[in-house]
Amino acid sequence: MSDGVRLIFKTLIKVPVIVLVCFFIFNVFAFGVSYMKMLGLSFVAMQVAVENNFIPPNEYNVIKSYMKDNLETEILQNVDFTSGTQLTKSQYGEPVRVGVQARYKFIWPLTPKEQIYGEFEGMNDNASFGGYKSGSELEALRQQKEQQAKSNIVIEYVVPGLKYYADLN
Amino acid sequence: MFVKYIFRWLLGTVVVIVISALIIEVVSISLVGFQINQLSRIAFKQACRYFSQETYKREDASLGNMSDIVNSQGLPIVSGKFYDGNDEQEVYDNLYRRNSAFRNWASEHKGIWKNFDLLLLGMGLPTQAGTSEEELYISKFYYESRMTPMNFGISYLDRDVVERIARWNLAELFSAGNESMVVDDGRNEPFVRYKGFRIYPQRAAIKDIKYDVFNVVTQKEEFQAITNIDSSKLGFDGPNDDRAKVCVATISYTVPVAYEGVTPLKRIMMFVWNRETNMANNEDDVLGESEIMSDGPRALPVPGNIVFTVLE
Repeated sequence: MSDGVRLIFKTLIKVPVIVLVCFFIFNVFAFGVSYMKMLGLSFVAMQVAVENNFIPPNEYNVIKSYMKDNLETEILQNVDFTSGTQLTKSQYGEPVRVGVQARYKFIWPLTPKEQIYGEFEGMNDNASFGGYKSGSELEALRQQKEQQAKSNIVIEYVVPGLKYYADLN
Repeated sequence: MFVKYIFRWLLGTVVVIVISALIIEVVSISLVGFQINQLSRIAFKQACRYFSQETYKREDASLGNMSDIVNSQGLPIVSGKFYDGNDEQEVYDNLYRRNSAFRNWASEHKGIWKNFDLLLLGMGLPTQAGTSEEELYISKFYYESRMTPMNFGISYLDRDVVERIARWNLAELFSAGNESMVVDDGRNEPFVRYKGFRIYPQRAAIKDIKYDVFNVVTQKEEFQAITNIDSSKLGFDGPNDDRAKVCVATISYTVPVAYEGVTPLKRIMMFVWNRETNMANNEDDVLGESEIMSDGPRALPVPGNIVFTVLE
């Protein structure tokens, strides 16, 4: 094999490897930054829970809007409180569960963007092609899929509530 | 050649492990150190609030006390008994009438607030209140209804009680109610493990409580500088309004902590070091963990200040 052909083959292998390594480094960096952001958010939520024994409605709304407006990006999605987060008042010293979660979307080359299978009308074994779903229907389906996606960043704490409520036993 | 290759790999592996461990330790110290600072502040702040809410005035028999914080063997480590006394009146008297710290504080602050002077009169303490029939009647009523300086918007904190509450808060907060995180090996002072740190709640202390009285009408800027409260929006009538004389308590506290590390790096280094010195000195085998992590002198204080005030 001549040197020229060898160089071509080497280059053919090198280029995708370099691309994959670059994407890997990018993902490590982006995941680290996203995780740190979530850590900061979780700590704020935890402090609110310690000071109030739950997440009061006002604070809940402020944090939620911060999540949507400042934290959610193309790669960090579904930022929310965990389902176990305590939203009702409890007494001094009682354990309070509070947490935040998000889904980090790993970015890889050649990732298929459309993941909605079997949703095209008539696209099954027994029927002929019957048409497409409309753009808005597809968008709704995409949203639904996104929201159902599992969170891969979950930070949860169990802390004692340190506020005394005279109206509670 | 092959041996050299193996040694090169071994050395490289050790270097990578050590550097990775160091990076993890640095990140851990940066993040958790900040958390400890903030949580300590919350523990003391909430202790001040708990005291200011007069939590011993309860209908149940607990008198605002909590259950002790115990270790995994069930031994009490941090007491949940905040208040001295068996009933509400006894606690009240121990906090104020019979308390030498309060008596000293009261003698320094008498003559500033009319209602406070009447309360002191009711308690039988030195005061600048008059002795008319009406004043005697009001002062008696104040004492019998167990009025406190807090009820008149005067921020007085009992140092011992706030310290006990803060210690309990610290232990509960850092252990998150998990008994296995509360350690008492009998040789060292009890501590709470928290993300690579040791917190010593029993040694947490209030160093000082400094009281400043501001007339928030005439000393608006000074008051705002220390509390960040704009007193012009509080609606006081004028400088002679009793409510305009606001007492601000500045609490200085300290929480001793020691660093254990989240990676085994420190233990490996101590192990190697002890092996070497033991061989040289012909002593016993390596030191135990408690000896390596000798607590007293290695604990560093996390200091902080809180500004606390109540407004009527």
